Amino acid sequence: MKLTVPHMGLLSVAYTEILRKHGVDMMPPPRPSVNTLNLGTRNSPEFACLPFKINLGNMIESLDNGADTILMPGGSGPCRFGYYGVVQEQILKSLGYEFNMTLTDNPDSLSGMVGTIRDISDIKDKKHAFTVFYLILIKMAALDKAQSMYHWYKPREINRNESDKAYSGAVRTIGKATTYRELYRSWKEVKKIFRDVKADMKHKPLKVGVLGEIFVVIEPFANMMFEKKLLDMGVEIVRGVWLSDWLNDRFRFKPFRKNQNKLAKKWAYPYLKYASGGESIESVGKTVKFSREGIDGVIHIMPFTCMPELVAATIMNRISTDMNYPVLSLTFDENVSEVNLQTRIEAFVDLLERRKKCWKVS
Amino acid sequence: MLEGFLGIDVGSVTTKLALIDKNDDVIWSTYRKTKGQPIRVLQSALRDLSRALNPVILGLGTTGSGRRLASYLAGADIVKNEITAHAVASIETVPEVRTIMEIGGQDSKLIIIRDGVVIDFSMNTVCAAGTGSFLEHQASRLGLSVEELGGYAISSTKPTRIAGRCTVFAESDMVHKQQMGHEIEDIVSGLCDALCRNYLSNLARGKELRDPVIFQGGVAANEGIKSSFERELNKEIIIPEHFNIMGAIGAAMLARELSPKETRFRGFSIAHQQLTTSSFYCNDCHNSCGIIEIRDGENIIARWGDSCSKWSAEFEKVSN
Repeated sequence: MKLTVPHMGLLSVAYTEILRKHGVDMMPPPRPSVNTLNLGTRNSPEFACLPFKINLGNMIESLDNGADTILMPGGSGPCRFGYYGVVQEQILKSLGYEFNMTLTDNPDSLSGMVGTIRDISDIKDKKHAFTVFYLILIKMAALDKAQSMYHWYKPREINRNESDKAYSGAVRTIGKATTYRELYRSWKEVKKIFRDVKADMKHKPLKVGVLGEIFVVIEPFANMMFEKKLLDMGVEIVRGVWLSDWLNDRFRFKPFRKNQNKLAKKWAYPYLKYASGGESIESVGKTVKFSREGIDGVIHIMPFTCMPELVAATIMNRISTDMNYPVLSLTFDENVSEVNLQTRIEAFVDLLERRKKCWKVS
Repeated sequence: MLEGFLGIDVGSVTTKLALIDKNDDVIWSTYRKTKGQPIRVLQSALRDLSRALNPVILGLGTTGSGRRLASYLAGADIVKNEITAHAVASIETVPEVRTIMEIGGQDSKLIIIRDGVVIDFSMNTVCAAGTGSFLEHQASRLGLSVEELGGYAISSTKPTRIAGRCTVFAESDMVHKQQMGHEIEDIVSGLCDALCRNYLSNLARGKELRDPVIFQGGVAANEGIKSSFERELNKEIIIPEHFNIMGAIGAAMLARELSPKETRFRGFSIAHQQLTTSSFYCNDCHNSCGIIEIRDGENIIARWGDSCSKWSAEFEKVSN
């Protein structure tokens, strides 16, 4: 069995080595590229969203490389996503591929995930599978933490591109860990790597909050590396959406980190009183929170045809007017022009800068 | 010796240059078609400037969709996006401005300003309906020059209703209306109305347009569009004196604001160099960035487009 899982940000770094160690023949797809998107777009329904297309492209690439089993989260997902695995299976079958599709029917439930690990690996003991699953979760949290450190260091770095190197080094170091002890050691090393980056601690860069649909936020290819563009302009990114937070809301592996979804619900009141799918409640709630926390503005990103985030975008427009707080909504799909995106981001950053200078706000 | 700050706005359809003095007065300006050859046009414009005035350039700002090309070519002190450049120029011209509408060759923008600071903006995303290129195309199809369109539009008293959601549909609707026997003045006027509706529903949705409203960009030359906007918004619309070169003026003002001790402008000699561009895809990682090079004969003078600065590191970057 050669197992493949479509990419979603750094998630593949978290599980690949660990599952390999436990006898799973992992075959990660190539990182999403123009080729992935072309394959995905050609074989997808036109109004499926960008995550669907990139996932499908990834699956086709892996199957072409010799994978025979696909693992895909499914079930009663947060939006249309729950149904994607089933549709993708149909599309791939009609393209003539032969493979097994393992859908995790209930990615929200612990027993479901532990069961999946027992199905695919040589671990038969329930308790052992449970510890392996938690290791993956904690590794994901470490990766997210490293990324947020990168977001902090990049605008403050003194030698150009030093923090980029530190970040890719950190991801590599964490990626190698396969046991709790190794993970602990690698984390110590990561802290050292970042401590060695020369940074101007007194510098106060502009802070921009990034919110939106989780796949587009965490997968750099899907958002045309827009975070890198922002960081290169010397802006600090405060991200409101993390994969580890999403996982933590479900599996509670970080006991001191509060349930972000519940908090967001509190902040979102009275603009949005119930979850309307996707990350909409987080987007609305955290916009309100960011506006109070002295973050200069919010960029809200979503894939084209994303219903939940479209709801959020409309509400955020209202918050923006009510609180006199800058919000920029960006939509991504395969037809977005990079020049247009660059112009918008630059103009938004200029807007924040001038606003800060002339009005002395926040 | 004449001294001044130069602003270059390389747009999709036209290239604009403006030279301003220290008091922000425009000394010299030019407005010419890019014709898909930004380098050639920029060189000839610089040649004309050096021949006409031969000024000392104290600072150079570039803007427009070709701002990076222009900055690498001429050596800019500041590179700014067109939204900021337009806002800066308009605020300087009409200090109390609160709404700026800009329609250029291929994009249209709406900028909302309060107390002299941009607070919101929007820009057309997927469709170029209602921009200069489309108007020009329709004018030539009707056998008119684009300058004549405005006159035709305001002479109409009973505009025909044209579908303006999409340029292709607008065109077929216009053909249909022509064949039904509507007068050309009415069709042109209806077209202006349609473009104006399209602009407002695409860009101004949910935004509050307050007085005073400035309308600029190449399309502002068209009287018909102006009067359509006035009718639709029920507001007076101001068209500044230099409406078609506002971006270039803004870029020059930003350069003046910066007032660099020593400009990075390469001098007018670049107008006589043999410049060529080429591009290739770097396949060293999965990003496959498109890398662009400018050569002067055999020498590479600039290279950009990579996200890892592997190719561009040796060529000093201009800060944003």
